Amino acid sequence: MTTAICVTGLCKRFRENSALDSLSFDFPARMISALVGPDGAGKTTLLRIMAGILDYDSGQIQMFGEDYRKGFEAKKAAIGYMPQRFGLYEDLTVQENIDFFADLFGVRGNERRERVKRLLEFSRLDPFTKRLAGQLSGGMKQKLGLACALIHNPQVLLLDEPTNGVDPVSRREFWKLLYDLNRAGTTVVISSPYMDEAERAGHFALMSKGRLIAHGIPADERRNFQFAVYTLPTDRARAVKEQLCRRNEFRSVNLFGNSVHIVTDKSFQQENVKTVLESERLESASLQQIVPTFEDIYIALSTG
Amino acid sequence: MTVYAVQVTNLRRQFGDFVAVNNVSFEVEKGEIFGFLGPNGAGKSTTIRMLCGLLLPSGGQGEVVGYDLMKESESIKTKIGYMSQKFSLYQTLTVEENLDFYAGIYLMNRDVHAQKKDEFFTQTELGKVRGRLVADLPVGARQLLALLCAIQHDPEMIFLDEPTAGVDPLARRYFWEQINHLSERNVTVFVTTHYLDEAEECDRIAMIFNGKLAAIGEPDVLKRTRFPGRVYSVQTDHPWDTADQLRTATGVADVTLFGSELHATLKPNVEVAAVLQSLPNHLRSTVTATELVPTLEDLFIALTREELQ
Amino acid sequence: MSFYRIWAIARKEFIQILRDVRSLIMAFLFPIVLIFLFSYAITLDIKQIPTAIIDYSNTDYSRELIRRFTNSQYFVEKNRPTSEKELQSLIDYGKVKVGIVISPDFADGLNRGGASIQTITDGSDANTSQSTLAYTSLIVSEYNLSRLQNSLGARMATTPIQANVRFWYNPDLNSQNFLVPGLISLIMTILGSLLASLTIAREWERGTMELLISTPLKPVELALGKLLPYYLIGMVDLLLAAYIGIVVFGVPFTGNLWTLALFSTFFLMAALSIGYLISVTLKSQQAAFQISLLTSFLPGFLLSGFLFPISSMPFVIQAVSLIVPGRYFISALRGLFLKGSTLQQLLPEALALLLFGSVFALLAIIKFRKKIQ
Repeated sequence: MTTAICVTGLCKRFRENSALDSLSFDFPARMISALVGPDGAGKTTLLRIMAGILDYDSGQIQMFGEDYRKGFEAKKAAIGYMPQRFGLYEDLTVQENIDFFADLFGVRGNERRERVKRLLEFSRLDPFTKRLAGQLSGGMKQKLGLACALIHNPQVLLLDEPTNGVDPVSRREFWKLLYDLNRAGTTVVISSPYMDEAERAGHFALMSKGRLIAHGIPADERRNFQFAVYTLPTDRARAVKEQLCRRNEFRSVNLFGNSVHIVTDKSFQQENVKTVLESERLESASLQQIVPTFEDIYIALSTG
Repeated sequence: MTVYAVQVTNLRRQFGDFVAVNNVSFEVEKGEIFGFLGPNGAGKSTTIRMLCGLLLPSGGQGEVVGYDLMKESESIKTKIGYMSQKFSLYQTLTVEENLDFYAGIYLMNRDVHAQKKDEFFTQTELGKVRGRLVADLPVGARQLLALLCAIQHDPEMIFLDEPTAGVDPLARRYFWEQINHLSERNVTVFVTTHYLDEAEECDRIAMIFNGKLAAIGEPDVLKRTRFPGRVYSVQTDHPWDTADQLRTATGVADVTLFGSELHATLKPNVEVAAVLQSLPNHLRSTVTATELVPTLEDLFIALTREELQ
Repeated sequence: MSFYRIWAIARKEFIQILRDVRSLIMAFLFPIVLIFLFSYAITLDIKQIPTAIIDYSNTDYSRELIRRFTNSQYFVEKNRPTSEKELQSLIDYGKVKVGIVISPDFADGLNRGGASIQTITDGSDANTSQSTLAYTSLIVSEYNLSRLQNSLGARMATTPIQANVRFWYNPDLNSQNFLVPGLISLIMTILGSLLASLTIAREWERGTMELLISTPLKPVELALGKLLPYYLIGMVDLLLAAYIGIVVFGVPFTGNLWTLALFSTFFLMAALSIGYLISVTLKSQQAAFQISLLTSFLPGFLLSGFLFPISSMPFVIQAVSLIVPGRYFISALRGLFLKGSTLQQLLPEALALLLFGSVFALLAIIKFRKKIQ
């Protein structure tokens, strides 16, 4: 597996706050990598550094084996970037926005005509070319952003929270576009505050407070998670949670709708959990071990 | 005393020719956590704004916390709390000053407010940051503060418009604990969200598409009764080719890639074995399928598809 | 440097200006309004001062003097009160600005050689008072002269010194001739500094800059592309203002049109560079607007010699005015409009403007970094 972008010991501070704390990660080429974590985890900082629009304090970063600090401006043509905030001109039409970025990247002639046509079809924006970008819906804006980021056929696509605030249908459509791109060989890095979005990617990196707390292949991570996670359905979830927290026998206890999720070390058998529950006079028959969700994983790792 | 916090019949709102909310009828019980879901532009915000008395309906009738939607919208405003996606907090005021400001707006009694603040500051982590500017708080803390600002005048009902966008999962759990806590005290909670896993925590949910109510009920019941067909997770060595084949196979409603797997929705009364049998040999040999419990997202997408047809 | 990218930026900027009503008003309507406002409402020559006259003397001599006052274009008799008390109330209520009182012994005094009249002016309006003083002296001395001529015979009656003042280049001392070139400079300052100061700040504010700096676009290309539309608008405004000045207000244009275009280009380069530097530095439209108002518009208005002559300012202020580009432009414009100056005569002004333009442009391009801070 070749590496598209290789980050080693990357540090970035904003005044007293450390946004990236000696972060190292290899983004595999021709794959979709999801950078998942809550606001303030450092996702945007990392993506901006990778897009070459933010300086970093120390560490190293390479794209296809070449250091960023060497002639980076030339590398920008290999990157398609989509910032978190809608970066296009709301007072320009869909067509004008696409044309503008085609001009900036010097895409001309037949190549340009074909590519614009293909991107408009691909993003299903072709009926809306004359509409002002500001009048598009959230999902359509994101698709236009994607189309503009792709106009120069970049090798690496960096997307900062493109699905945030977008409804589930548009989100699923957006992912479908990413899979199509990926199939054509584009490397995609996408960040998201939605933990479950890690599962859609081929590779994930879970971030918290400027550090990487887990990474790998999503399905493997869930199946082979280092801790055991149990769910206990109950009508009084809050009370049960507090009761179990006071026992202090588990790694963590969290509320999950009408059930409580209990995280323990793997050595701690289901029978042991039941014993604890019974000693607390809680009904234990419905206790069940589950494959943890990424939210479980995040909570277990960031509180540990 | 009614048992309903919200009761609307044929609620309607038009903007010019565009019908944003089309004869919607539903009830929300007192003390219930009610999730209101739908794609962007489906009429969620318009409905919320009508229920909060910020926007007059074009037609229909209804009551919110016992007051008439058409005639008593000002009375509604005193009995509800509202927290929007873009928090209505003042960035350049401190935590405490924001609370004081909203207490002023709702004409809270000074002693009651002082007592409330004490309660908030001892029970939540905001006590440690009461003198800090809102601009310097992490998102989770702001979220909580916005919620407290909206509930300190003891409203009977609270409207939360996408309250947890971008908040870290721990803060989100904590936030939901607070919401559950409110519900236990018989405060009605009306919440919109794009996180469908979060919607599972609601007592009941409603889904709105194109201004019309498409489904309403308990999440588990809806998933069982309203989901057309079944969802399978398909493991394969050739996800893209398999996806291409499945999309054209008969009996398959939808196929999406999901990491290295596929999620396939089969139409009702279609056997998964028959579908897999239709795959070409080289693909069939590596395929295994396991049934999944449909998620609310699966249901949401299936209902959207129905709506479009 | 790619002209293709410069053109891409310029075209985008043009479309945005054309779609934004506020920009359009600033660029085209505002200059026209400004010219008409200044030219019609504000005239620097004070004429037709409302005046009240009390003639206690009521003789042929006094009536002759009054006639001289009212026949001049400076005073208009609005009222003829009967007492000084009444006069005072007229001044207090602002009905008249000037009171002239001719005492009962005016005629006797004339014959004895010691007559006087009293002129009362509203000192709260210093400008009018100043003018009143000057005009009164003028009218009275003319009156004296004509009386001398009458009594002594014309041959004898010459004053020892006669100051023979001629107003070159603006023989009628028409204030519009003086104002319109200054206004052109003011309009171009507004356009150059104010509008240019917003362009980069707007991109930062709306979040579009983040995407822009992630492309291979070079800072020079961005600057040229951004400023080209404003330069063209500036030249259109120049033609518009010059046309209105020449055709509507009859301001003479005696210089060379190409020299005018050249100077305007130099000045716009300076003004646009200053605006661009502000924009690049501040990243917020509101702050950029305020700063460019303070650093470009106000000095351009007050210290450029537009209304107030630089030579009568205190030394320190005169020194400060040396770094106001408008000063050189206005001086060149007046030369071009009224004096028919040639480029050679205006060389110092041209060099000063070029220096400003290059220094600020250089600073702005160095200052702009393709990074988020």
